[in-house]
Amino acid sequence: MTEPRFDPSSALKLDFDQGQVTLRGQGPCLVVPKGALLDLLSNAGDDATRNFGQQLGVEVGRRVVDGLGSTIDKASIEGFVEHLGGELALLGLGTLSVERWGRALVLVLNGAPAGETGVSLVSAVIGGALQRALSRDTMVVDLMKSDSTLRLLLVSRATGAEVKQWLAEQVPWGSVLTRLHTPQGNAS
Amino acid sequence: MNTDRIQRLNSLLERIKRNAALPKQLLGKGLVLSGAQAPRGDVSAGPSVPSAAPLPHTRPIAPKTEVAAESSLRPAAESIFRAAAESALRSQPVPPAQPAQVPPSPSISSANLPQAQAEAPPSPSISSANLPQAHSPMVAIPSVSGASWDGRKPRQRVATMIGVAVPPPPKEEAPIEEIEADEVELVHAASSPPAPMLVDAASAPPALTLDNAPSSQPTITLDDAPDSQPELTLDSTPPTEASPIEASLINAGTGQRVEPPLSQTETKKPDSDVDNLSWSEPPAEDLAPTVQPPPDSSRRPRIAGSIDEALAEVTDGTELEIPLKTPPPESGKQPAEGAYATSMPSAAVPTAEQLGDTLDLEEPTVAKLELDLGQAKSEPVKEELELDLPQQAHILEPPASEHRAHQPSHIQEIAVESGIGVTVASVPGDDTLLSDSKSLQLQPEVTLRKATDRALAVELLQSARDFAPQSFVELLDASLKLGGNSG
Repeated sequence: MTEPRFDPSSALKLDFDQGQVTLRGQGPCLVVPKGALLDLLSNAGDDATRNFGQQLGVEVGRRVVDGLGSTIDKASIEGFVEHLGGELALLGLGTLSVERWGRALVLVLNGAPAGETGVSLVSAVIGGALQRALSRDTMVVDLMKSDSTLRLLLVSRATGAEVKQWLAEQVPWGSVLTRLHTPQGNAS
Repeated sequence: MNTDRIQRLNSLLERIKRNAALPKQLLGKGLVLSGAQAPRGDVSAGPSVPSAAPLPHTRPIAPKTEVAAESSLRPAAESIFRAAAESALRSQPVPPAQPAQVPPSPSISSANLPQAQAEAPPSPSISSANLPQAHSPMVAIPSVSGASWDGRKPRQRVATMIGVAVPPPPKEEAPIEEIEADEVELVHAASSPPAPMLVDAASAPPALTLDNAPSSQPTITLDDAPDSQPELTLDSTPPTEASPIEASLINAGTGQRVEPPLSQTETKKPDSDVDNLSWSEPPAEDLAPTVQPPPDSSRRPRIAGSIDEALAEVTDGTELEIPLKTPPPESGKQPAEGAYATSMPSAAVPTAEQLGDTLDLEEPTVAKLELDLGQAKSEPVKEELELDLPQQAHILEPPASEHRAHQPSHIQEIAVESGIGVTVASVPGDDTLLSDSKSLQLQPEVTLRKATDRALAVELLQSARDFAPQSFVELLDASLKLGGNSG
């Protein structure tokens, strides 16, 4: 069975007569500059940013479900990344790719919003999308961030807290991945 | 010429030469022959009697001490000029000149009285021409030529002094000068004394010609006599400052007048009525004879009359002598005598006897040119402890194939994988990427690190190989089980 491909055609409609913008036929949207939005979110706080991103992610998950249909639970990694990445690209959140480090799932975003506010926004969007599409409660941890690349590790909330602690201890993110694969109690 | 006249002229000349001490005040720059100036600096109101006055652009007032000395000399000078005028009138009558008042400004009246000279300011550098007490054989007699002043155009004419550098000639009697003026009024305002000028006592021509004038208005008209060239004999260096004194140079031997080169001291203006005066050094080097003695050299060897004679001289050895100095050069055609008498063939084309038999060479072949580089160099003898340094190949020299064979295998693999050998210097039809023809390719050198902590790496690789998620959900669930849930 072939997986449906991501179809970006007619995803974003601009109604010049009405002065409205619609995304996948969903309600009027606003085209807001990225900097202005990040300034607004940074002033609003972490909780407001997380909630705002969670709402965006829910919509993204819904569209991914619409795109994959009933086969979403059996969708391949490439197929799911194609649809999820397509939806994130429509929002202007960058290009998505997946890295698998053993058993660890790492999402890589190029051209994602920079800064702590941008990372929080993207993490919230992805978490909301996965929760809406796959009904998984995940914790997205920014494993590594540079000027143009953002690596996000998808782990459970308990592991996520532990990973954040390691990163706070200046443990390299490679070592963090290694520690995640070591049996419990051997991690040092 | 009778004896009385000679004696009278001699006495007159002696007195004039005594007066030569006084004109040093006149030799300063900026002297102008003008009428007697009534007020200081105002020459327009004076009579037409010429007198010496400074140019307006020069220093107008003399020092105080000099002024006092000049003032004290005035009565004596007037009497001297009167006497001179009377004597001159006896010899040559001169129409009376208009009366002129003696200017109140410091002035020196040229006089020939002894007391005037005694009261005159010291002038050691100027002495009479025939005075035996001259400090140097070169004495100076200033000659001032002036013109009358018409009263309307002050400073119309400027005194011109001409200096002549003359070496000490044999002593002979000085010519006689005539006084054509009976009154001389020399007004001096320049503060700086003139440069000392020495005139040869014997060759000094009559310098002053004093015109007769009424005794009531003693003036002296200093004119250049046409027949007697007023000259100054200078033995001192010219002043460094710009001086309007014009000097003419006369060669001592020839007596020819030498015009000095144009110097910057000549400040003559075309529109000005002032005659500029200047001088310069006598060009002693130019006037000196330039005959140089011939170079000292050995005589030229005698030319043998024939070849036999030349050979005989050689075998005899009597004519063999080593020239101590280089023979003088000769130019021109060789003498046509002796061995050189044999005529050379004039024909440019060689004769058949000279050419001989002509052989035709074969056409050049296409064979490669082989150059014999010579025998191999013999290797130097090496000592036992001497070691051979590894010979470094040139940077553009392709390495040998056997040397490449000893390279580690991973280098070749990296080179192949990187594609450097294919893209940089690939040769069509050549399958080997690392052949000698591609020796200019960049060869990466990889330093392998030591394999440490291999156990963890194997475990990770083994875990990755064991885990092969088929869906994204499976991978997500595996990632969610990491950490605390992985055990």
